[in-house]
Amino acid sequence: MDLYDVTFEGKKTSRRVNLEVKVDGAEGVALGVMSQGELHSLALSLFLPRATLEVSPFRFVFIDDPVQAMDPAKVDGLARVLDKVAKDRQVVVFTHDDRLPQAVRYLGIEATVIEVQRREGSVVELRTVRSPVEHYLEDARALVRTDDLPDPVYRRVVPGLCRQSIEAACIEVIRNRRLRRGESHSEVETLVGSNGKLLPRLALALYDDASRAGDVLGTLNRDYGPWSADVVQACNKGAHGVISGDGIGFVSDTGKLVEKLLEL
Amino acid sequence: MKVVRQSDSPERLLAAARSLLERPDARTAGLWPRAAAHLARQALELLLDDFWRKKAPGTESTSTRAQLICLSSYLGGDGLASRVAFAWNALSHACHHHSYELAPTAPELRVWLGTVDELRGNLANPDSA
Repeated sequence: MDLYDVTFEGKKTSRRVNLEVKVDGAEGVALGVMSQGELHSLALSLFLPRATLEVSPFRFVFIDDPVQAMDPAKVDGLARVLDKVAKDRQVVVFTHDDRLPQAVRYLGIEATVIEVQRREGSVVELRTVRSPVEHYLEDARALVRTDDLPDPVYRRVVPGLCRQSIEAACIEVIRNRRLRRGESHSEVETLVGSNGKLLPRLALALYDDASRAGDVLGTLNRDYGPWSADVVQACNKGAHGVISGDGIGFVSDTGKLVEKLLEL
Repeated sequence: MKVVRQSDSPERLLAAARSLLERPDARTAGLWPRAAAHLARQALELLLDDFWRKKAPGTESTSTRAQLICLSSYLGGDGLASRVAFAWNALSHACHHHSYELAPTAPELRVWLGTVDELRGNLANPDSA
């Protein structure tokens, strides 16, 4: 199906948009020949580019239940489109359909999934089901439980995934703290971006000061225990380092560390 | 399940999948979408097998999920690894029957085949990527 002219029509106070489509070359008007799911997709394909125009003062998009009546492949496609929009916009999607979170999961999209539960009297409870922090940990856990994964692969990939998880936790801490203090998003993103390495990020999370990267291991050692400094060192060395002990312990220590960091 | 003859190359499997998509044939009516998905998935898995055998022997015998998680560490950061993971998941999904779901359409299959082909090209000329 191809979309042709989008025209505006209006008389007095009423306005409408006409969408001309062709189905395999035969002409038609969109509303008449498209399914509900296709109409949703079409509406989004008009809305998203408009909402993300450079002239728009808003740097976020809210979408309510975009996946209803979509077929599974469209849901995947939508997840990828939203991922693209989310590169430089905040994207918030509400849905009661599990397929979008599912697509986010297997596409490996860095999204935070929050479950909203409603108690009596519409008292709402929020529960984070999945975040980038958890996403990397989940992959790391899957790998350490894989039998027969060759050692060089394991040493190349697992510390990297754990490092990404710790960095994601640091970013969350840094962002929350600084935005709450009234700093602008662009300031915070620049700060996080210009401190791309693990230790400065940990220093920002722990002391709010990137220049204290040299103190990080000592603090971790003292406040959380030697295991936490070991985790960070192993992550930092990446493929060159050696993970002491078993991999399952290493990943679960990483999990413990990110939990501690997220409490900061 | 891997029922692949030794002589089957990823190229031949991909070509067979493409021709199922492009050439209507009474004999493949109704079964071409899932058949094409099967062929493309086998091509993808063969490519991965071959890649790991060269890059990190032993990885090819782990689960495909594990292989796909590792892939991004080996392919670099243009997003190909995540597209490949997506294509594999989508193809695997299409290989099975699901209640209330239709078989994939030709344009969908073409996108996934394109990803498999992109991986093939990337592995054949790793430097041009």
